Amino acid sequence: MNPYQSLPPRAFWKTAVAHGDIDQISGLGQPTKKLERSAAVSTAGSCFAQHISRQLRANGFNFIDAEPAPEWLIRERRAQFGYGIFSARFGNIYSSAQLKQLIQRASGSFTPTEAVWRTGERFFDPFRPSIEPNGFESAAEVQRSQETHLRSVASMFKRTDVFIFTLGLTEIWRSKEDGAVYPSCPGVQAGSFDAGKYEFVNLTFEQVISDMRYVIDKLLKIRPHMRFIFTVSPVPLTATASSSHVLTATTYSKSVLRAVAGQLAEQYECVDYFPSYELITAPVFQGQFFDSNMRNVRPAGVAFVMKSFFRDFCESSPPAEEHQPRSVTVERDDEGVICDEAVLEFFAQ
Amino acid sequence: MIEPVLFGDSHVATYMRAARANGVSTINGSPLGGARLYNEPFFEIADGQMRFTSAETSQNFVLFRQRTKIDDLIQCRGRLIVSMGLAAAPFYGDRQWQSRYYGALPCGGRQFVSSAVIEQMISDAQKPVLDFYKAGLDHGLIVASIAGPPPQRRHRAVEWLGCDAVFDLEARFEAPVRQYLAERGCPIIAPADVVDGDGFLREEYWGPDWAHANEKYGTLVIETVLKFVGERQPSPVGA
Repeated sequence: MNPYQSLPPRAFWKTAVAHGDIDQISGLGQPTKKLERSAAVSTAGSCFAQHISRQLRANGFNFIDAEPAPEWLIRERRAQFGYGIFSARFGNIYSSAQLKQLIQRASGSFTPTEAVWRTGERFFDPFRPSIEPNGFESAAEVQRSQETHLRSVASMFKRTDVFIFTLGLTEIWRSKEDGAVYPSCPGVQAGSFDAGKYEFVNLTFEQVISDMRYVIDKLLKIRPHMRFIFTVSPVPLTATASSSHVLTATTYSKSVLRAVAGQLAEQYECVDYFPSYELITAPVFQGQFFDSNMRNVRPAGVAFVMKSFFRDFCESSPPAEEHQPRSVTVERDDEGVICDEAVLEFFAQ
Repeated sequence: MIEPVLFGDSHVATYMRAARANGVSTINGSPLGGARLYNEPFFEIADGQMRFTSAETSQNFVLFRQRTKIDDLIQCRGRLIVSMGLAAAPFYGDRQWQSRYYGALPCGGRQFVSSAVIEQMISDAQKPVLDFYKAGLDHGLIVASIAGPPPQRRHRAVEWLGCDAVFDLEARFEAPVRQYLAERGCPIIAPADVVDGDGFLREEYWGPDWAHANEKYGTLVIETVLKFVGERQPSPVGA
Protein backbone atom coordinates (compact mmCIF):
# COMPACT_ATOMS: atom_id res chain seq x y z
CA MET A 1 0.00 0.00 0.00
CA ASN A 2 1.41 3.40 -0.97
CA PRO A 3 0.69 6.67 0.87
CA TYR A 4 -1.83 7.85 -1.73
CA GLN A 5 -4.10 4.88 -1.24
CA SER A 6 -5.23 6.04 2.18
CA LEU A 7 -5.91 9.65 1.22
CA PRO A 8 -9.46 11.11 1.18
CA PRO A 9 -11.21 12.10 -2.06
CA ARG A 10 -10.29 15.78 -1.52
CA ALA A 11 -6.67 14.87 -2.15
CA PHE A 12 -7.32 13.77 -5.74
CA TRP A 13 -8.05 16.15 -8.62
CA LYS A 14 -10.38 13.64 -10.24
CA THR A 15 -12.66 13.27 -7.22
CA ALA A 16 -12.24 16.72 -5.71
CA VAL A 17 -12.32 18.97 -8.78
CA ALA A 18 -12.75 17.29 -12.15
CA HIS A 19 -16.40 16.40 -11.58
CA GLY A 20 -17.10 20.03 -12.55
CA ASP A 21 -19.82 20.63 -9.96
CA ILE A 22 -18.50 23.71 -8.23
CA ASP A 23 -20.95 23.40 -5.37
CA GLN A 24 -19.34 20.09 -4.52
CA ILE A 25 -15.87 21.61 -4.34
CA SER A 26 -15.44 22.03 -0.62
CA GLY A 27 -13.02 21.65 2.22
CA LEU A 28 -10.26 23.61 0.53
CA GLY A 29 -9.23 24.98 3.86
CA GLN A 30 -9.03 23.03 7.07
CA PRO A 31 -8.45 25.27 10.07
CA THR A 32 -6.73 23.98 13.14
CA LYS A 33 -9.50 25.62 15.15
CA LYS A 34 -12.87 26.77 13.93
CA LEU A 35 -13.99 30.31 14.58
CA GLU A 36 -16.38 30.50 17.52
CA ARG A 37 -19.13 33.04 17.42
CA SER A 38 -18.17 34.30 20.83
CA ALA A 39 -14.58 34.99 19.79
CA ALA A 40 -13.77 38.67 19.39
CA VAL A 41 -12.81 39.03 15.73
CA SER A 42 -11.05 41.92 14.08
CA THR A 43 -10.38 42.34 10.38
CA ALA A 44 -8.06 44.34 8.18
CA GLY A 45 -6.62 44.10 4.73
CA SER A 46 -7.14 44.98 1.12
CA CYS A 47 -10.47 45.80 -0.45
CA PHE A 48 -11.56 42.16 -0.66
CA ALA A 49 -11.34 42.00 3.14
CA GLN A 50 -14.29 44.38 3.33
CA HIS A 51 -16.56 41.53 2.32
CA ILE A 52 -15.32 39.41 5.22
CA SER A 53 -16.00 42.21 7.71
CA ARG A 54 -19.49 42.77 6.36
CA GLN A 55 -20.40 39.10 6.37
CA LEU A 56 -19.05 38.45 9.85
CA ARG A 57 -21.11 41.31 11.18
CA ALA A 58 -24.22 40.25 9.30
CA ASN A 59 -23.90 36.69 10.54
CA GLY A 60 -23.75 37.55 14.19
CA PHE A 61 -20.07 37.14 14.91
CA ASN A 62 -18.49 39.12 17.70
CA PHE A 63 -17.00 41.68 15.35
CA ILE A 64 -14.87 44.38 16.94
CA ASP A 65 -15.54 47.93 15.81
CA ALA A 66 -12.91 49.81 17.79
CA GLU A 67 -13.47 53.10 16.00
CA PRO A 68 -17.21 53.34 15.41
CA ALA A 69 -18.91 56.10 13.47
CA PRO A 70 -20.45 59.01 15.34
CA GLU A 71 -24.12 58.28 15.88
CA TRP A 72 -25.27 61.32 13.90
CA LEU A 73 -23.44 60.20 10.77
CA ILE A 74 -26.12 58.39 8.84
CA ARG A 75 -25.49 54.77 7.84
CA GLU A 76 -25.24 55.59 4.14
CA ARG A 77 -22.32 57.93 4.79
CA ARG A 78 -20.26 55.80 7.13
CA ALA A 79 -18.32 53.77 4.60
CA GLN A 80 -17.63 56.96 2.65
CA PHE A 81 -15.72 58.21 5.71
CA GLY A 82 -14.05 54.87 6.37
CA TYR A 83 -16.20 53.90 9.32
CA GLY A 84 -17.42 50.34 9.87
CA ILE A 85 -15.54 48.84 6.93
CA PHE A 86 -12.89 47.18 9.06
CA SER A 87 -12.41 46.89 12.80
CA ALA A 88 -10.88 50.34 12.90
CA ARG A 89 -10.75 53.22 10.48
CA PHE A 90 -7.67 51.85 8.69
CA GLY A 91 -8.67 52.29 5.10
CA ASN A 92 -7.26 49.49 3.00
CA ILE A 93 -4.09 47.82 4.24
CA TYR A 94 -2.68 46.23 1.13
CA SER A 95 0.75 45.07 2.18
CA SER A 96 2.55 43.27 4.97
CA ALA A 97 4.79 46.31 5.36
CA GLN A 98 1.77 48.53 5.96
CA LEU A 99 0.39 46.17 8.61
CA LYS A 100 3.75 45.95 10.36
CA GLN A 101 4.05 49.72 10.32
CA LEU A 102 0.54 50.15 11.75
CA ILE A 103 1.46 47.96 14.71
CA GLN A 104 4.69 49.88 15.20
CA ARG A 105 2.87 53.18 15.11
CA ALA A 106 0.12 51.98 17.46
CA SER A 107 2.73 50.76 19.93
CA GLY A 108 4.75 53.97 19.65
CA SER A 109 7.86 52.36 18.23
CA PHE A 110 7.71 54.23 14.93
CA THR A 111 6.67 57.79 14.20
CA PRO A 112 6.82 58.80 10.55
CA THR A 113 8.49 62.12 9.90
CA GLU A 114 5.91 63.07 7.27
CA ALA A 115 2.58 62.78 9.08
CA VAL A 116 0.41 65.07 6.95
CA TRP A 117 -0.03 65.67 3.24
CA ARG A 118 -1.41 68.93 1.94
CA THR A 119 -3.34 69.14 -1.31
CA GLY A 120 -4.57 72.67 -2.03
CA GLU A 121 -6.35 73.90 1.06
CA ARG A 122 -7.08 70.44 2.44
CA PHE A 123 -5.00 68.08 4.53
CA PHE A 124 -4.72 64.29 4.24
CA ASP A 125 -3.48 61.40 6.33
CA PRO A 126 -0.73 59.82 4.18
CA PHE A 127 -1.47 56.46 5.75
CA ARG A 128 -5.25 56.65 5.28
CA PRO A 129 -5.72 59.04 2.35
CA SER A 130 -9.23 57.86 1.54
CA ILE A 131 -10.93 58.03 4.95
CA GLU A 132 -11.87 61.69 4.52
CA PRO A 133 -12.92 62.01 0.88
CA ASN A 134 -12.22 65.73 0.76
CA GLY A 135 -9.47 65.76 3.32
CA PHE A 136 -9.26 67.38 6.72
CA GLU A 137 -9.65 71.05 7.53
CA SER A 138 -6.20 71.38 9.07
CA ALA A 139 -2.98 69.54 9.80
CA ALA A 140 -3.98 69.53 13.47
CA GLU A 141 -7.18 67.66 12.56
CA VAL A 142 -5.14 65.01 10.74
CA GLN A 143 -2.93 64.55 13.77
CA ARG A 144 -5.87 64.31 16.19
CA SER A 145 -7.55 61.78 13.93
CA GLN A 146 -4.31 59.76 13.80
CA GLU A 147 -4.08 59.81 17.60
CA THR A 148 -7.63 58.51 17.91
CA HIS A 149 -7.00 55.90 15.23
CA LEU A 150 -3.78 54.54 16.71
CA ARG A 151 -5.33 54.43 20.18
CA SER A 152 -8.27 52.50 18.70
CA VAL A 153 -5.94 50.10 16.91
CA ALA A 154 -4.06 49.38 20.13
CA SER A 155 -7.34 48.80 21.94
CA MET A 156 -8.57 46.56 19.13
CA PHE A 157 -5.55 44.27 19.28
CA LYS A 158 -5.76 44.02 23.07
CA ARG A 159 -9.29 42.67 22.68
CA THR A 160 -8.83 40.49 19.59
CA ASP A 161 -9.16 36.71 19.84
CA VAL A 162 -8.98 36.11 16.08
CA PHE A 163 -7.37 38.51 13.62
CA ILE A 164 -8.33 38.04 9.98
CA PHE A 165 -5.99 39.72 7.53
CA THR A 166 -6.24 39.73 3.76
CA LEU A 167 -2.94 40.22 1.97
CA GLY A 168 -3.36 42.22 -1.20
CA LEU A 169 -0.12 43.47 -2.78
CA THR A 170 3.63 43.20 -2.72
CA GLU A 171 4.09 46.54 -4.49
CA ILE A 172 4.52 49.45 -2.10
CA TRP A 173 5.56 53.09 -2.11
CA ARG A 174 7.69 54.30 0.74
CA SER A 175 9.55 57.30 2.03
CA LYS A 176 13.23 57.38 1.21
CA GLU A 177 13.80 59.35 4.39
CA ASP A 178 12.44 57.02 7.06
CA GLY A 179 10.97 54.05 5.21
CA ALA A 180 7.36 54.99 6.00
CA VAL A 181 5.03 52.91 3.81
CA TYR A 182 1.98 54.38 2.11
CA PRO A 183 -1.14 52.53 0.98
CA SER A 184 -0.95 54.18 -2.43
CA CYS A 185 1.56 56.12 -4.43
CA PRO A 186 1.84 59.74 -3.23
CA GLY A 187 -0.08 61.93 -5.66
CA VAL A 188 -2.66 59.30 -6.59
CA GLN A 189 -5.27 59.72 -3.84
CA ALA A 190 -3.61 62.67 -2.11
CA GLY A 191 -0.27 64.35 -1.67
CA SER A 192 2.09 64.94 -4.56
CA PHE A 193 4.70 62.72 -6.08
CA ASP A 194 8.36 63.57 -5.68
CA ALA A 195 10.84 61.04 -7.01
CA GLY A 196 13.42 62.47 -4.65
CA LYS A 197 11.30 61.64 -1.62
CA TYR A 198 9.49 58.43 -2.47
CA GLU A 199 10.51 55.11 -3.93
CA PHE A 200 8.81 52.07 -5.33
CA VAL A 201 9.53 48.66 -3.83
CA ASN A 202 8.21 45.30 -4.89
CA LEU A 203 8.50 43.20 -1.75
CA THR A 204 10.19 39.84 -1.93
CA PHE A 205 9.06 36.63 -0.27
CA GLU A 206 11.69 37.18 2.44
CA GLN A 207 10.52 40.70 3.14
CA VAL A 208 6.84 39.76 3.32
CA ILE A 209 7.38 36.78 5.57
CA SER A 210 9.67 38.83 7.80
CA ASP A 211 6.96 41.52 8.13
CA MET A 212 4.32 38.93 8.89
CA ARG A 213 6.47 37.17 11.47
CA TYR A 214 6.97 40.52 13.16
CA VAL A 215 3.18 41.03 13.14
CA ILE A 216 2.46 37.62 14.63
CA ASP A 217 5.17 37.78 17.27
CA LYS A 218 4.26 41.32 18.30
CA LEU A 219 0.54 40.59 18.53
CA LEU A 220 1.11 37.39 20.49
CA LYS A 221 3.00 39.47 23.04
CA ILE A 222 -0.02 41.76 23.33
CA ARG A 223 -2.58 38.94 23.32
CA PRO A 224 -0.92 35.54 23.84
CA HIS A 225 -3.87 33.40 22.77
CA MET A 226 -4.61 35.37 19.62
CA ARG A 227 -5.26 33.32 16.50
CA PHE A 228 -4.77 34.45 12.91
CA ILE A 229 -6.57 33.72 9.69
CA PHE A 230 -4.67 34.93 6.64
CA THR A 231 -6.14 35.13 3.19
CA VAL A 232 -4.93 36.44 -0.14
CA SER A 233 -7.10 38.79 -2.13
CA PRO A 234 -8.10 37.30 -5.50
CA VAL A 235 -8.40 40.78 -6.99
CA PRO A 236 -5.66 41.41 -9.56
CA LEU A 237 -3.49 44.52 -9.47
CA THR A 238 -5.15 47.55 -10.99
CA ALA A 239 -1.74 48.78 -12.12
CA THR A 240 1.87 47.88 -11.60
CA ALA A 241 4.83 50.18 -11.12
CA SER A 242 7.21 47.31 -11.79
CA SER A 243 8.52 47.00 -15.32
CA SER A 244 6.39 43.90 -15.82
CA HIS A 245 3.11 43.43 -17.60
CA VAL A 246 0.29 43.92 -15.09
CA LEU A 247 -0.74 40.28 -15.52
CA THR A 248 2.66 38.85 -14.71
CA ALA A 249 3.06 41.44 -11.94
CA THR A 250 -0.21 40.16 -10.49
CA THR A 251 1.01 36.60 -10.66
CA TYR A 252 4.21 37.58 -8.86
CA SER A 253 2.37 39.46 -6.10
CA LYS A 254 -0.22 36.77 -5.51
CA SER A 255 2.34 33.96 -5.68
CA VAL A 256 4.52 35.57 -3.03
CA LEU A 257 1.58 36.36 -0.78
CA ARG A 258 0.09 32.91 -1.19
CA ALA A 259 3.41 31.25 -0.44
CA VAL A 260 3.95 33.41 2.65
CA ALA A 261 0.46 32.68 3.96
CA GLY A 262 0.99 28.97 3.39
CA GLN A 263 4.36 28.94 5.08
CA LEU A 264 3.08 30.87 8.10
CA ALA A 265 0.20 28.41 8.45
CA GLU A 266 2.73 25.57 8.38
CA GLN A 267 5.04 27.21 10.90
CA TYR A 268 2.62 28.67 13.42
CA GLU A 269 -0.03 26.61 15.20
CA CYS A 270 -2.01 29.82 15.71
CA VAL A 271 -2.18 30.62 11.98
CA ASP A 272 -4.66 29.28 9.45
CA TYR A 273 -4.82 30.02 5.76
CA PHE A 274 -8.25 30.58 4.21
CA PRO A 275 -8.16 30.03 0.43
CA SER A 276 -10.26 32.93 -0.85
CA TYR A 277 -7.68 33.34 -3.63
CA GLU A 278 -8.16 29.80 -4.95
CA LEU A 279 -11.93 29.93 -4.53
CA ILE A 280 -12.12 32.74 -7.06
CA THR A 281 -9.17 32.24 -9.38
CA ALA A 282 -8.77 28.48 -9.79
CA PRO A 283 -9.16 27.36 -13.44
CA VAL A 284 -12.06 25.11 -12.52
CA PHE A 285 -14.18 28.21 -11.91
CA GLN A 286 -13.40 29.45 -15.42
CA GLY A 287 -13.30 33.07 -14.38
CA GLN A 288 -17.04 33.09 -13.76
CA PHE A 289 -16.66 34.96 -10.49
CA PHE A 290 -14.98 37.92 -12.15
CA ASP A 291 -16.80 40.84 -13.66
CA SER A 292 -16.35 41.57 -17.36
CA ASN A 293 -13.12 43.46 -16.64
CA MET A 294 -11.75 40.18 -15.21
CA ARG A 295 -10.72 42.05 -12.09
CA ASN A 296 -13.69 42.93 -9.91
CA VAL A 297 -15.22 39.99 -8.08
CA ARG A 298 -18.95 39.55 -8.72
CA PRO A 299 -21.35 39.27 -5.77
CA ALA A 300 -21.79 35.59 -6.63
CA GLY A 301 -18.05 35.10 -6.14
CA VAL A 302 -18.10 36.86 -2.80
CA ALA A 303 -21.06 34.71 -1.75
CA PHE A 304 -19.21 31.56 -2.84
CA VAL A 305 -16.13 32.51 -0.82
CA MET A 306 -18.11 33.43 2.26
CA LYS A 307 -20.21 30.27 2.07
CA SER A 308 -16.98 28.31 2.10
CA PHE A 309 -15.63 30.41 4.97
CA PHE A 310 -18.67 29.87 7.16
CA ARG A 311 -18.89 26.17 6.28
CA ASP A 312 -15.22 25.26 6.67
CA PHE A 313 -13.85 27.83 9.11
CA CYS A 314 -16.66 28.61 11.50
CA GLU A 315 -18.68 26.82 14.11
CA SER A 316 -21.97 25.78 12.58
CA SER A 317 -24.13 26.63 15.56
CA PRO A 318 -26.74 29.32 14.99
CA PRO A 319 -25.98 32.73 16.37
CA ALA A 320 -26.47 32.99 20.11
CA GLU A 321 -29.03 35.55 21.09
CA GLU A 322 -26.42 37.95 22.37
CA HIS A 323 -24.59 37.67 19.08
CA GLN A 324 -27.45 38.37 16.74
CA PRO A 325 -26.43 40.68 13.92
CA ARG A 326 -25.60 43.97 15.51
CA SER A 327 -26.69 47.26 14.28
CA VAL A 328 -23.87 49.34 12.92
CA THR A 329 -25.62 52.26 14.49
CA VAL A 330 -25.99 53.21 18.06
CA GLU A 331 -29.14 55.19 17.58
CA ARG A 332 -29.40 58.75 18.70
CA ASP A 333 -30.05 58.99 22.37
CA ASP A 334 -32.49 60.42 24.87
CA GLU A 335 -32.29 64.00 23.64
CA GLY A 336 -34.77 62.89 21.01
CA VAL A 337 -36.91 61.19 23.61
CA ILE A 338 -37.11 64.42 25.61
CA CYS A 339 -38.57 66.17 22.57
CA ASP A 340 -40.98 63.34 21.87
CA GLU A 341 -42.23 63.51 25.43
CA ALA A 342 -42.82 67.23 25.19
CA VAL A 343 -44.97 66.73 22.10
CA LEU A 344 -46.88 63.77 23.52
CA GLU A 345 -47.66 65.75 26.64
CA PHE A 346 -49.06 68.54 24.48
CA PHE A 347 -51.22 66.16 22.46
CA ALA A 348 -52.51 64.57 25.66
CA GLN A 349 -53.79 67.88 27.04
CA MET B 1 -53.71 91.05 10.53
CA ILE B 2 -53.05 87.43 9.60
CA GLU B 3 -53.93 84.66 12.04
CA PRO B 4 -50.71 82.73 12.24
CA VAL B 5 -50.37 78.98 12.54
CA LEU B 6 -47.39 77.75 14.54
CA PHE B 7 -46.05 74.45 13.32
CA GLY B 8 -43.06 72.21 13.81
CA ASP B 9 -40.96 70.79 16.61
CA SER B 10 -41.58 70.24 20.30
CA HIS B 11 -40.98 73.90 21.21
CA VAL B 12 -44.28 74.71 19.52
CA ALA B 13 -45.98 72.86 22.38
CA THR B 14 -44.54 75.38 24.85
CA TYR B 15 -45.53 78.32 22.67
CA MET B 16 -49.09 77.11 22.18
CA ARG B 17 -49.51 76.38 25.87
CA ALA B 18 -48.36 79.93 26.56
CA ALA B 19 -50.82 81.28 23.99
CA ARG B 20 -53.66 79.43 25.70
CA ALA B 21 -52.53 80.51 29.17
CA ASN B 22 -52.50 84.12 28.00
CA GLY B 23 -55.90 83.87 26.33
CA VAL B 24 -54.45 84.48 22.87
CA SER B 25 -57.00 82.98 20.51
CA THR B 26 -55.66 84.53 17.31
CA ILE B 27 -52.77 82.12 17.09
CA ASN B 28 -53.48 78.57 16.01
CA GLY B 29 -50.98 75.74 15.91
CA SER B 30 -49.52 72.56 17.22
CA PRO B 31 -46.26 70.69 17.06
CA LEU B 32 -46.04 67.82 14.63
CA GLY B 33 -43.33 66.02 16.53
CA GLY B 34 -39.87 66.19 18.07
CA ALA B 35 -36.96 67.54 16.06
CA ARG B 36 -35.60 64.08 15.25
CA LEU B 37 -38.60 63.44 12.96
CA TYR B 38 -37.31 66.10 10.59
CA ASN B 39 -33.88 64.56 10.08
CA GLU B 40 -35.35 62.14 7.54
CA PRO B 41 -37.70 62.82 4.62
CA PHE B 42 -41.11 63.43 6.18
CA PHE B 43 -43.42 65.17 3.72
CA GLU B 44 -44.40 65.55 0.10
CA ILE B 45 -46.62 67.87 -1.86
CA ALA B 46 -48.64 66.07 -4.48
CA ASP B 47 -51.94 66.84 -6.20
CA GLY B 48 -52.07 70.17 -4.40
CA GLN B 49 -51.91 68.57 -0.95
CA MET B 50 -49.18 68.36 1.65
CA ARG B 51 -48.86 64.87 3.05
CA PHE B 52 -46.68 63.68 5.87
CA THR B 53 -44.98 60.56 4.71
CA SER B 54 -43.00 59.08 7.58
CA ALA B 55 -44.91 56.83 9.93
CA GLU B 56 -44.63 59.13 12.93
CA THR B 57 -45.34 62.44 11.19
CA SER B 58 -48.29 60.87 9.41
CA GLN B 59 -49.67 59.59 12.70
CA ASN B 60 -49.00 62.86 14.51
CA PHE B 61 -50.64 64.90 11.78
CA VAL B 62 -53.95 63.29 12.71
CA LEU B 63 -53.52 64.81 16.18
CA PHE B 64 -52.38 68.11 14.67
CA ARG B 65 -55.52 68.17 12.54
CA GLN B 66 -57.79 67.44 15.50
CA ARG B 67 -56.20 70.18 17.53
CA THR B 68 -55.98 72.90 14.88
CA LYS B 69 -58.94 71.98 12.62
CA ILE B 70 -56.53 72.42 9.71
CA ASP B 71 -56.83 69.51 7.28
CA ASP B 72 -53.96 70.45 5.04
CA LEU B 73 -51.08 72.86 5.59
CA ILE B 74 -51.65 74.05 2.04
CA GLN B 75 -54.65 75.89 3.51
CA CYS B 76 -52.24 77.99 5.59
CA ARG B 77 -51.09 80.22 2.77
CA GLY B 78 -49.30 83.24 4.18
CA ARG B 79 -49.92 82.12 7.78
CA LEU B 80 -47.41 79.43 8.64
CA ILE B 81 -44.72 80.16 11.22
CA VAL B 82 -42.35 77.25 11.51
CA SER B 83 -40.16 76.10 14.39
CA MET B 84 -37.84 73.64 12.74
CA GLY B 85 -34.10 73.26 12.22
CA LEU B 86 -33.24 76.10 14.60
CA ALA B 87 -33.12 74.19 17.86
CA ALA B 88 -29.80 72.42 18.13
CA ALA B 89 -30.06 70.77 21.55
CA PRO B 90 -30.61 67.28 20.09
CA PHE B 91 -27.35 67.70 18.18
CA TYR B 92 -24.99 69.28 20.68
CA GLY B 93 -26.64 67.34 23.50
CA ASP B 94 -26.40 63.91 21.92
CA ARG B 95 -24.57 61.34 23.97
CA GLN B 96 -22.12 60.92 21.09
CA TRP B 97 -20.27 63.94 22.49
CA GLN B 98 -19.60 62.14 25.74
CA SER B 99 -17.18 59.83 23.95
CA ARG B 100 -16.07 62.13 21.15
CA TYR B 101 -14.47 65.50 20.69
CA TYR B 102 -13.70 67.84 17.85
CA GLY B 103 -11.66 70.90 16.98
CA ALA B 104 -9.11 71.92 19.57
CA LEU B 105 -11.02 70.57 22.58
CA PRO B 106 -9.02 68.44 24.99
CA CYS B 107 -9.10 64.80 23.95
CA GLY B 108 -9.80 63.27 27.36
CA GLY B 109 -9.55 59.76 25.95
CA ARG B 110 -12.35 60.48 23.49
CA GLN B 111 -12.46 59.82 19.75
CA PHE B 112 -11.84 62.70 17.39
CA VAL B 113 -14.51 63.79 14.90
CA SER B 114 -13.35 65.86 11.94
CA SER B 115 -15.01 69.05 10.77
CA ALA B 116 -15.91 67.34 7.51
CA VAL B 117 -17.75 64.58 9.35
CA ILE B 118 -19.58 67.14 11.48
CA GLU B 119 -20.57 69.09 8.37
CA GLN B 120 -21.80 65.90 6.75
CA MET B 121 -23.86 64.94 9.80
CA ILE B 122 -25.48 68.38 9.85
CA SER B 123 -26.00 68.53 6.12
CA ASP B 124 -27.79 65.18 6.08
CA ALA B 125 -29.83 65.98 9.20
CA GLN B 126 -30.94 69.41 7.96
CA LYS B 127 -31.68 68.45 4.36
CA PRO B 128 -35.30 67.41 4.98
CA VAL B 129 -35.81 70.60 7.01
CA LEU B 130 -34.47 72.71 4.16
CA ASP B 131 -36.69 70.80 1.75
CA PHE B 132 -39.68 71.65 3.93
CA TYR B 133 -38.77 75.34 4.10
CA LYS B 134 -38.25 75.40 0.35
CA ALA B 135 -41.61 73.79 -0.34
CA GLY B 136 -43.35 76.01 2.21
CA LEU B 137 -41.81 79.17 0.80
CA ASP B 138 -42.35 78.14 -2.83
CA HIS B 139 -46.03 77.56 -2.09
CA GLY B 140 -46.34 80.82 -0.19
CA LEU B 141 -47.23 79.13 3.08
CA ILE B 142 -44.42 80.21 5.37
CA VAL B 143 -44.16 83.77 6.63
CA ALA B 144 -41.51 83.27 9.29
CA SER B 145 -39.51 80.85 11.32
CA ILE B 146 -38.99 80.76 15.08
CA ALA B 147 -35.55 80.27 16.60
CA GLY B 148 -35.36 77.62 19.26
CA PRO B 149 -34.50 78.59 22.83
CA PRO B 150 -30.79 79.22 23.48
CA PRO B 151 -28.79 76.52 25.28
CA GLN B 152 -29.18 76.13 29.01
CA ARG B 153 -26.14 76.28 31.24
CA ARG B 154 -27.27 73.13 33.06
CA HIS B 155 -27.24 71.05 29.86
CA ARG B 156 -25.04 67.96 30.15
CA ALA B 157 -23.26 68.95 26.93
CA VAL B 158 -21.72 71.91 28.76
CA GLU B 159 -19.97 69.47 31.07
CA TRP B 160 -18.87 67.25 28.18
CA LEU B 161 -17.77 69.91 25.72
CA GLY B 162 -17.58 73.26 27.51
CA CYS B 163 -19.56 76.42 26.79
CA ASP B 164 -17.74 77.51 23.67
CA ALA B 165 -18.19 74.16 21.92
CA VAL B 166 -21.90 74.04 22.77
CA PHE B 167 -22.41 77.45 21.18
CA ASP B 168 -20.18 76.50 18.27
CA LEU B 169 -22.07 73.28 17.57
CA GLU B 170 -25.37 75.15 17.90
CA ALA B 171 -24.21 77.72 15.35
CA ARG B 172 -22.89 75.04 12.97
CA PHE B 173 -26.11 73.06 13.21
CA GLU B 174 -28.35 76.04 12.52
CA ALA B 175 -26.13 77.65 9.87
CA PRO B 176 -27.58 75.94 6.78
CA VAL B 177 -31.14 76.81 7.79
CA ARG B 178 -30.30 80.37 8.80
CA GLN B 179 -28.45 80.88 5.55
CA TYR B 180 -31.29 79.50 3.45
CA LEU B 181 -33.94 81.54 5.24
CA ALA B 182 -31.83 84.68 4.80
CA GLU B 183 -31.48 83.95 1.07
CA ARG B 184 -35.24 83.61 0.79
CA GLY B 185 -35.94 86.70 2.88
CA CYS B 186 -37.77 84.70 5.53
CA PRO B 187 -37.53 86.36 8.95
CA ILE B 188 -36.56 84.44 12.07
CA ILE B 189 -38.56 85.34 15.15
CA ALA B 190 -36.72 85.26 18.47
CA PRO B 191 -37.59 87.03 21.72
CA ALA B 192 -35.06 89.58 22.88
CA ASP B 193 -33.22 89.75 26.20
CA VAL B 194 -33.54 86.09 27.23
CA VAL B 195 -29.87 85.19 27.70
CA ASP B 196 -27.33 85.81 30.43
CA GLY B 197 -23.94 87.40 29.96
CA ASP B 198 -22.49 84.17 28.54
CA GLY B 199 -25.30 83.63 26.06
CA PHE B 200 -27.16 80.90 27.94
CA LEU B 201 -30.91 80.99 28.39
CA ARG B 202 -31.62 82.77 31.66
CA GLU B 203 -32.64 80.40 34.43
CA GLU B 204 -36.06 82.01 34.80
CA TYR B 205 -36.91 80.60 31.36
CA TRP B 206 -35.71 77.05 31.93
CA GLY B 207 -38.34 74.43 31.21
CA PRO B 208 -38.85 70.97 32.65
CA ASP B 209 -35.70 69.66 30.98
CA TRP B 210 -32.41 70.97 29.62
CA ALA B 211 -33.69 71.28 26.07
CA HIS B 212 -36.99 73.11 26.46
CA ALA B 213 -37.96 76.50 27.79
CA ASN B 214 -40.92 77.24 30.06
CA GLU B 215 -44.21 78.99 29.42
CA LYS B 216 -42.75 82.29 30.57
CA TYR B 217 -40.37 82.04 27.64
CA GLY B 218 -43.26 80.83 25.51
CA THR B 219 -45.16 83.98 26.43
CA LEU B 220 -42.28 86.08 25.14
CA VAL B 221 -42.33 84.12 21.88
CA ILE B 222 -46.09 84.60 21.55
CA GLU B 223 -45.73 88.34 22.19
CA THR B 224 -43.00 88.49 19.55
CA VAL B 225 -45.15 86.58 17.09
CA LEU B 226 -48.09 88.91 17.71
CA LYS B 227 -45.84 91.91 17.23
CA PHE B 228 -44.47 90.40 14.03
CA VAL B 229 -47.88 89.69 12.50
CA GLY B 230 -49.18 93.07 13.64
CA GLU B 231 -46.44 94.85 11.77
CA ARG B 232 -46.52 92.65 8.75
CA GLN B 233 -48.12 93.25 5.37
CA PRO B 234 -50.48 90.38 4.54
CA SER B 235 -48.36 88.71 1.89
CA PRO B 236 -46.23 85.61 2.00
CA VAL B 237 -42.46 85.84 1.78
CA GLY B 238 -40.14 84.11 -0.59
CA ALA B 239 -42.87 83.13 -3.04
